[in-house]
Amino acid sequence: MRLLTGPAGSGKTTFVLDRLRESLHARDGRVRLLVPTATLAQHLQNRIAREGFAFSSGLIQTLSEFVSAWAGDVPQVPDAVLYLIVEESVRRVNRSEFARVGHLPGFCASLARTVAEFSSAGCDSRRLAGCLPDAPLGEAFLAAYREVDRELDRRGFATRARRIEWAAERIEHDGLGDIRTVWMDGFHALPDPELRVIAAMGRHADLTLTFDAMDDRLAALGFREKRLTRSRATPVMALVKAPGIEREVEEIARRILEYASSGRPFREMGIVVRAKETYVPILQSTLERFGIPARFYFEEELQRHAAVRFLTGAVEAMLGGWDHAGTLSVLRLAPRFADSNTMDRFEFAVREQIPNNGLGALEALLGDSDRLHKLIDELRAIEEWRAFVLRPSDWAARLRTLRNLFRPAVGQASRPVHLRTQTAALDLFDEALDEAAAALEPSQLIDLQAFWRAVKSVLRLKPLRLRDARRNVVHVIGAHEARQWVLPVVFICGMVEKQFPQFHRQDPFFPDAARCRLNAAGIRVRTAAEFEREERALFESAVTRATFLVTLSYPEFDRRGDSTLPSLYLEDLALATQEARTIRPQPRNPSTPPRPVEIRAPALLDFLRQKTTRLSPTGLEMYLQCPFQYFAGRVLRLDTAPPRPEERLDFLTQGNIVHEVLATWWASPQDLDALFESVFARHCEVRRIPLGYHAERLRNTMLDDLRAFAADTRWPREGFQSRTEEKFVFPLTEGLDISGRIDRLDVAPDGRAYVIDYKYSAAQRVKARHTDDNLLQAPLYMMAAERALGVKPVGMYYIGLKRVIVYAGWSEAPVAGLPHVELPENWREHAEKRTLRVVEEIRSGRVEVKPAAVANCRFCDFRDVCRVQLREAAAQAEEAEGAS
Amino acid sequence: MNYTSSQLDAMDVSKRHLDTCVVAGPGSGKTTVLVQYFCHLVENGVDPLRILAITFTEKAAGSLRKKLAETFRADSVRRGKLERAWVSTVHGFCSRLLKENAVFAGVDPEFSVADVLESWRLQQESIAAAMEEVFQEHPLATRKLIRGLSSYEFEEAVLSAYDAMRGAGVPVEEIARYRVPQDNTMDEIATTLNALRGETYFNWSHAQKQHLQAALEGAGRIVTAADPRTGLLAIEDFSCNLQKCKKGANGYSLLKRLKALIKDAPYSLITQHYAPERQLLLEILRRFDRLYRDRKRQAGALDFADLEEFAVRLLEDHAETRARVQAQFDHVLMDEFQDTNGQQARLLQLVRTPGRFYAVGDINQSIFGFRHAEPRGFREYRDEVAGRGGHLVELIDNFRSRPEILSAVETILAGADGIEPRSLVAGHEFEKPRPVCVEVMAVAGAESEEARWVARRILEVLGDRAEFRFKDVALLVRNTEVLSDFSAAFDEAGIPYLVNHGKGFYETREVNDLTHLLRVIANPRDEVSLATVLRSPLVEVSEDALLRLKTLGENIGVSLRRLENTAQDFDPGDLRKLCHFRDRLRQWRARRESVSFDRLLLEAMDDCGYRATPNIDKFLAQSRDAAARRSLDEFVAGLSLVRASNPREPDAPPEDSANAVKVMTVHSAKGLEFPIVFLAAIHKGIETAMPHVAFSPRYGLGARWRSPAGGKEKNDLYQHAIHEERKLRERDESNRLLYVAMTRAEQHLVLSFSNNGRKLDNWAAVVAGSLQLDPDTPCDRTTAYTAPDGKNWKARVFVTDRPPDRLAHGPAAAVEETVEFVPLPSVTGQHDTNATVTALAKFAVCPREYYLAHYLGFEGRPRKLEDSDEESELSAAGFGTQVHSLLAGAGIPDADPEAVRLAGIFRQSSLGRRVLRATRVEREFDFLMSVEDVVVRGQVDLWFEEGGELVIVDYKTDSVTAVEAHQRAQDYALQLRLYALAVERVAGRPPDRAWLHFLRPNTAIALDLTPSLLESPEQIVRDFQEAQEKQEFPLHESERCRRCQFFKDLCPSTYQSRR
Ligand code: SF4
Repeated sequence: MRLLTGPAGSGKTTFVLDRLRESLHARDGRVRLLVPTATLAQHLQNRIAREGFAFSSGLIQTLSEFVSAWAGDVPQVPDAVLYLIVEESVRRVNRSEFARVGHLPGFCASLARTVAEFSSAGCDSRRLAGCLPDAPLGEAFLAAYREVDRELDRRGFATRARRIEWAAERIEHDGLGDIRTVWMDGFHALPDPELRVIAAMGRHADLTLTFDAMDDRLAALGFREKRLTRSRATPVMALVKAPGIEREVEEIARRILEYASSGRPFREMGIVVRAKETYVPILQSTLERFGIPARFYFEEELQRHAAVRFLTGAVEAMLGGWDHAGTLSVLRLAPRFADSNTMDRFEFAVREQIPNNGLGALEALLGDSDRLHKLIDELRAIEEWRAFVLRPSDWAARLRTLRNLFRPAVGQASRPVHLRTQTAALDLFDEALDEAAAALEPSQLIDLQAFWRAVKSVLRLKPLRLRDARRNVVHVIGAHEARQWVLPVVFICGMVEKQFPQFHRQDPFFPDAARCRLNAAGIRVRTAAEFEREERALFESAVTRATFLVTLSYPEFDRRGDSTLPSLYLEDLALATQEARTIRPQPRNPSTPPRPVEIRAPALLDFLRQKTTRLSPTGLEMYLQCPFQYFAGRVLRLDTAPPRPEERLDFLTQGNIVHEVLATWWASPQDLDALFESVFARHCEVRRIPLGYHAERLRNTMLDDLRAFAADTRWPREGFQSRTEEKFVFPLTEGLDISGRIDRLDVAPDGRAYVIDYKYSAAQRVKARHTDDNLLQAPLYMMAAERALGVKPVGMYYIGLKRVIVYAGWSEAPVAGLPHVELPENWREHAEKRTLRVVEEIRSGRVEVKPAAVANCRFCDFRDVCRVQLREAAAQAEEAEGAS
Repeated sequence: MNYTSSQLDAMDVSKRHLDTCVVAGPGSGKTTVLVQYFCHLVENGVDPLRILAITFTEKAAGSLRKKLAETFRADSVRRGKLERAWVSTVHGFCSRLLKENAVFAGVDPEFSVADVLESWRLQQESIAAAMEEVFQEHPLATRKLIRGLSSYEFEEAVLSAYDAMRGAGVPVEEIARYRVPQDNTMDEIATTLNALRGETYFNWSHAQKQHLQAALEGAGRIVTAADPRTGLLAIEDFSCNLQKCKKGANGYSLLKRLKALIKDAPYSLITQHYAPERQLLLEILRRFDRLYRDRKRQAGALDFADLEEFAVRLLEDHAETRARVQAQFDHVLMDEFQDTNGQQARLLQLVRTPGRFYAVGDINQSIFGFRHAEPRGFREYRDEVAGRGGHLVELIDNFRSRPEILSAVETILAGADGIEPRSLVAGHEFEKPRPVCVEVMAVAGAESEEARWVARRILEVLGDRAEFRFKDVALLVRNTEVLSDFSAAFDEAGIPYLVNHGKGFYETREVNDLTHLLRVIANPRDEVSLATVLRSPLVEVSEDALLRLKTLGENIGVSLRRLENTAQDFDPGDLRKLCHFRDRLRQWRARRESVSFDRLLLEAMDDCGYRATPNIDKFLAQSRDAAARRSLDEFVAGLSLVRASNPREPDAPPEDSANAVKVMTVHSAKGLEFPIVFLAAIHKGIETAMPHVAFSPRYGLGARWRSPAGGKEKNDLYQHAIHEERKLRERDESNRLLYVAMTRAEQHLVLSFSNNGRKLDNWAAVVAGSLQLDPDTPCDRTTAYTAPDGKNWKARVFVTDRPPDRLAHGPAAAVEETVEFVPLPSVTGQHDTNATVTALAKFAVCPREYYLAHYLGFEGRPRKLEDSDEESELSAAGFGTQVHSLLAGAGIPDADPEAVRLAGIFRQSSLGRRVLRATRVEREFDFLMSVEDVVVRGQVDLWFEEGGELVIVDYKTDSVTAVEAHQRAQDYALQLRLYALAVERVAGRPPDRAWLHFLRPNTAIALDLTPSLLESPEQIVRDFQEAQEKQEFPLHESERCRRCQFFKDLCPSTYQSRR
């Protein structure tokens, strides 16, 4: 057995491939090249095929694939099944140490990971029992591990390591058939089971292994070492620093574009990522943004994929009795409705009714969209499942038909890679169903809930790879994967502390000291020192991947704006730092210079004229507060998304309730509480306001306020006849009517009348009407009273009802003991003139953003549309820092 | 570096076996001392992994690690270890401790730490749910609670009390155990009343006596009230006007006392009256606590308080772990000890063992009481160290500020509450003298006037000399309300500035625009959002265009969707923008669940060249993270909730390098220093109204209730006690905050305030009082002062009542970055590098079918539920596989008899018999080869060499008629040609014949292997690449369509209907 050693770039792989080529030329099929991973196998197959060879794919394969012919019939346990078995075992062994955490998914996942680690190291529970180190959780772990092993046996599964060991035994005994030569390349770790199978193969074939260095175990197997020295040229190195990760990644994009424009194909460039959570998403965004084709060799979470969310969402919505919020979010994921107006309208209709449930109620909101009806019918079809009890495999078979619900939208704007990944996700969903079935007791009849729990666990663990087989792309690869690549130009990003090298926390079951003892006992599980070595090796391998140029980069500041600590690996390199430049893609639609905010087109001005033949005092006041607010609210009448249930009892609704109660109660005095309750209940029903704590609190306040009003006897009501809710319209001038509704008109026998307007707002705001420059309502109401309602108005009062009852108004003479303010001189004339001016302005197309009182902008529904800067207003509303 | 003797003392590792307390004044180089101490320990043989160093902020931890890394750069072993060293914040420490001991701690080992926003969200949900639960279960009692404790901020108040409890480490269950604070007011009223009754009133007039009598009766009613409510009513009714009483007499002072007592009487009555509601309040807290914990558990998340709580619990409950952790650290170093809260202090107690603790702190800089810091802990520790012969060091030299600034601090804060008298000794030698380094500016007028003066003064101080630049100036304020005035003034004066730690992230224009864009993508019927986006720079259409859209239909979203590219009446520019946006919107909507949301936003931004700001980066990062966890709808809903409830989300930190004045609050300036500091608007205090519900570790939970008599709000006894406690704390902390603010300045300090003729308040009062300023008389002079330690210093005092003259200055120098615009590359070669023979063959027959089935991987027909009870029935595919396996010579235990029969048919056919005679046979031969750069994989059923002829065979197991067999054979031609190519490369010569053997019925068809140029494998592969490149997969409609699985479904073919 020959061992080829040497540093990265010393030509170990080249040596092996040369031998392989020789065999292919000689048409000798009795050789095998074995590698650790499927991607590497594929990579090498492609490489050799591109050289013009045709050959059987088995010639280059993974070690596990290769040995599976000798490993027997017991299948390898899928990760997800192992996890479920771990979960079950933890429950069964019922150790007190695990009592508080046994049910937590993260706990079972860590336990499963440690089990897998031990098993790959060739240490099953029996072997562990023989050398269990003194660790606080050692015993408990062992108990769970034993149970896992037992359960695997019972279910007819084996771990990968187990199968390799079996293969080793068989090969040892039966030989390798007609295979004469075996090369093994790309291995960076050789746990015991692998070593055993290597030894067995070495006995029957000419075996060559490439490895980083000779070690005792290999020597003991009788390997002869041949050392190669580095032959590949050292690439040029550069170091770039950017203010943050955004700029860092943009700088990488910039450089890629620069090389590409000088003729280097994308496929000759790669980005090595160590901290994938941090960098992969932003690299995806940034490379796409700059039009750089890239292929990401990373796994995503299957359960997060939209297609899977759609299917799982459907099942869960069904199990949850078709709660509308949940069902809606499933429907929104249906690809064919992604950009459907029908769905948009339906969504808002449903949201107006939430909370609610049941498919029937949903369909009632549907209108006549056949397609949507069909989808809901299809959902209804799965409802019967709720009553079934089936064997796990039958559940899996049944749930496979769920896929029919997912109708892909081909030909819409989705990118091919997304559509292709969609189908990959759906296939994996099927796989998950089978795995869940495999992990459960085969003959037991269970209900959907029970089966579904297992499916969820499996889905949570299953990775999803993008289906992407393009070649002319920038390769974005993890540091482990990168060990198998050689590219002219390589970027390594995120060179900061804790990201590269990555920080490895101690294992919760076997801390470092225990692991060292296990090592001493011959069980090769990794220690902190080994992790450190591995990180260093990963880095060294990453920088030697490039044949031409390697660019390392790091962000100077983190997201919080704190300065980062560059990676310690940079310290030895002593490279001069280059600064990143800020770039952006050339805009397609560059912005245009600002223009005045106004309506100009003659046809639209006509439209405005038509729309303003009748105006209400509140509308006019709105214009005076801000022309834009008027434009958005009264002309464009912009609508927004339905409020959340707890927002439905808003100020407007509260005001309506209070007004309605007062109108009725004043006209025909009765039990105020009872009246209020009935009005309140009706509004709640109509607006679907949930009668919870929130509504209760407001109900209580409103009732208190109404009672306070009822108890307030300052107004001499005996002296008047009251008319409530009086609608009016009167012409102010040619082509302009003023219309509105007066809350209450109190008329004395001599015809003198008072206009009363209730305001359900705070005393402060009501009193402020006295000094309000934009006041138009009061004088216009007075005019209305006279011209349209035929009385002689002598005063107008606002009554503020919130918290305290306040009267604020104007009158010819004092009324009872109420605060008295004289009617302003020429009040109505002024108002009339002002109104005419306002109408003229509206009709001339003035829609300027010009609030009379910025403080009021906070309450304006259009404050985002108008782009008035609200920070200041927000700052005013906010408590200062440091306040308790 | 020259260290002072006290610094050297503080770094002295020979005393490392003593508990050490370093009292470090501002600018005393405490970070250096801490770093040096750490280094000396390591140099003296302490393993870096055996030192635990805890800082208050991430920033401080980062800078500590950085300095250590620099120090040990040359020592690779130690440098390597620093990577794993325990240098972090308390939270960082807890998190690591918990992960490594997750099982004993009872936490999920894969827990994530919920950030502020995430925990805020969970808290909001939980409190709402808790209130709902309680309300549904106890509707009547809840109504009463609402009546008694009605506040719109009720939930917020409960949450802030909860936060305080957790900071103090007091579990919810313990709240009920707090005793009602001692209160003897009622007894004292009774006693005083008795005394008054026993008093004689000689010189009192009749009227006075009558008044007295009424008062005594009123007091009597209070004392004898049958229940709290009556008592409160009696208090409400009680009246006593001392003016109407005889002054000077004993009775008078007793009466005065009685009045004061009665004023305090409601607290206990309120407490009694609302005892049942208080129970319900506690119940709400309990529920909330439970629900919040459940939700976090479900999310696998811990909040910051959990980190502390679980770490403390781990160490408290688990002696073995505690011992292990304690043994793990030889030294525990703690920075800013005065800022720790109760829970953190307890944690430290549990980690450290005697003689190993090294704490640095300064009571005078304790300003985080509102975050539940308890400086008491530091004071006690210091006293303990002093008392027990530990190692106590005071660092009083200040290496930051000019001596005059230090003297000003001492003068202004001499004897102030909360400030420990300790002198500040200037230790830094400044090269150039400055005539005056302290200024006080008083502006009679509004804050906007003050801001203008400040702006002007900044320009004057910077002057023309290159000594200082804008970036050397910091404007510190206590209350963010005034920031708008200052930014307006800076804009006006052309001063570039960066507001750091503003808290209006969600209200910034850019965040607003992008939020609305997401809402539009979620549902364009939301007209407010759509109009916002259309008016924003993202689209930027005119108001005319908006109104036109409206006139086209009831909803502008629908109008936009239906807008024709040639619509009349629109301004051409508007129309182009609208159509472009409409098309983009369609794309974004289709992709919204398949890419992270930031990508959609970036596309929109890049389309128009929208300016990137740190806030945008922050929002994009949020969107990116959210996409990994939530759907777009959920994210959008979450955003509107956040905006509606306005939590104070900080702005992204501005990029530091810009030459701009830094504007920030004093709290966020802690730990920083600036050459020039303007401490502005010092007349403004902060809102310190207590919330309706509050907690203090000393008194428990208090509340403010509505008095059943009169409806005014009154504290209960708990709340009253907390209120008093807080008043003192705030007074002290306010002084310390001023201390911290002033000591940020290195060279120049300007204190400014404005006043509108009212009495001076807050810091302005402190400053004016201590410097004897008259803010009403304009002046501009330099005044000499003497500090308490006798040092003389000067300040420029500037008082004005007029606005500053307008400064002629250039337009606002915006803080601009230089941006390069890059064109997008032209991209080719985006086809797959791999293909199977089957896929290529399918492509040759119908590109569209290939696209749907192979390229995208769809299934056509709906799936049927196969009845798995009848396993014997094989699927067509399964059957084919069996036949192939049988023919390949594999033994199949329970093979289908029909499969066995078909295999027999082949074996007995003439081809089958030739195989027996062959010199070389390959069955199920799988191969790889490259054709035109595409690596093709396939499997040849059989090839053999016999009688000098090289033959390829492919079996087909589906049953066909003889006619169909001949038709189909054409479809397989390419497949066999590719096989021939592979066999040629392997065998070294081209095959002579290729057979397609249909087994049902037994028909063998020979295929022509000499292709026309058009149908050569190479040409097909080229077409194949091109189709992928262009993403164009035409339909080849034919009779086959009717058998195709996509017919009348995913394929738009209408073939049948044409027939
Ligand atoms: S927020 Fe203010 S400026 Fe904007 S539309 Fe409303 S009122 Fe006008």
